[in-house]
Amino acid sequence: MKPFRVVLLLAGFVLIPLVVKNLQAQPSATTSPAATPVAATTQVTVNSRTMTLNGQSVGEVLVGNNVVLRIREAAGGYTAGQRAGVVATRLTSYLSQGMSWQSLSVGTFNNQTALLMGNNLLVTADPREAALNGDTPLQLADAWLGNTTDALRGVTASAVAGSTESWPDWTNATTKIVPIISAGTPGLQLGAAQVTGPKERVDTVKAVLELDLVFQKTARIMVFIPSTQIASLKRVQGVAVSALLQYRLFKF
Amino acid sequence: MKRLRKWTIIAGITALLMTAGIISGAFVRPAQAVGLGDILKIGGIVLAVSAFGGQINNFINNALGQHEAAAAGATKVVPIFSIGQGAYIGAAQVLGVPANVRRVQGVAAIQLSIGNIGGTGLIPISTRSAKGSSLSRVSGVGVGAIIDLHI
Repeated sequence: MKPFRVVLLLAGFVLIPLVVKNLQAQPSATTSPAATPVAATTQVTVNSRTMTLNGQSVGEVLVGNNVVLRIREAAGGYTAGQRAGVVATRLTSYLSQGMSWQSLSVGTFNNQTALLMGNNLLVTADPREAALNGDTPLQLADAWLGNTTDALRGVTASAVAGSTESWPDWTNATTKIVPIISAGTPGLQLGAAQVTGPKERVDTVKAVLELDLVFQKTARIMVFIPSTQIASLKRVQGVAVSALLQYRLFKF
Repeated sequence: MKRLRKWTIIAGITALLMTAGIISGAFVRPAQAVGLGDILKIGGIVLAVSAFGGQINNFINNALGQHEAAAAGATKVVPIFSIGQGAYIGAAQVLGVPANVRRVQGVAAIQLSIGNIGGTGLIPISTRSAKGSSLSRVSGVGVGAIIDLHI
């Protein structure tokens, strides 16, 4: 009997901690995406600072090195800089609670358009603040949402590697209409495009070549390449499409 | 008798192990990667672009690189908001100077007609949608690709 009791006891010692440990681990597997703590986001530094723009003191909230929102107005007894500090503190607090960029949304808080994180207020896009930016409150909150989301996700507008030429400023911009030619089937015209960019570059564009791609069998991608030649791909840098003519934008 | 007891205990331990395995989730189904199609069904275009915009952007840039036609500017994938339909209808890759591209949050699609020719204007804007009375156009940025998310 004794050896069997020892075996049973040993089995109990091994199994019980295993079961308890795994039962404790279970909830994390079913956590909703909105509350998933993301290491990358918890390591993000959130700061605020006071700057002077056009002689006016403004408060800025930074995620990493990116300014995600700028407050120009003092309100509620706080200066613009102090308000930015409050927003930065809120954002830090929500991130430390495990929220991520997925929790961000535009909604209403106390009947005012606001940027929210979960159900919590991050910052109010009040009409005066929006007017100073030349926006409506919804547009301002939308812009803040986009900036904050991108900064928290670590998305930056990345320049394409391998290119030796930089994108020119459109100081002397003009437009031109050229045919859209299929890159896969040379000579097949698919419509027309209005291209825009610096005049000296737009003048060299003879056609826009369309390259068709498929991403994950779910997205059909039509890439438009302004070219100096109709029959082959010779990209004109600094020129992009601003309108599509006689072209069915989406095939659904 | 001893042998029977021994087998009973072995069977008991085996049963315990299996029960523990089931309870503890040891027999969890294999994980499945969530694809663009799944996200589209659940959250629509804006969520799909938020989740997959970076990948689509790199996918386009890599394809262009293979054709020696990569754009020299910064690029980004954003949703297209149709002014006429008042809804998101797809996505676009915008390109331009990095500082300006960073400001772009969406592309507004507006119906145009030049004489008898119909078309769609594509305007990079600094907001996700264009529900206000005016468009916050971002200058110096154009469209490099459009992405149909409904195939």
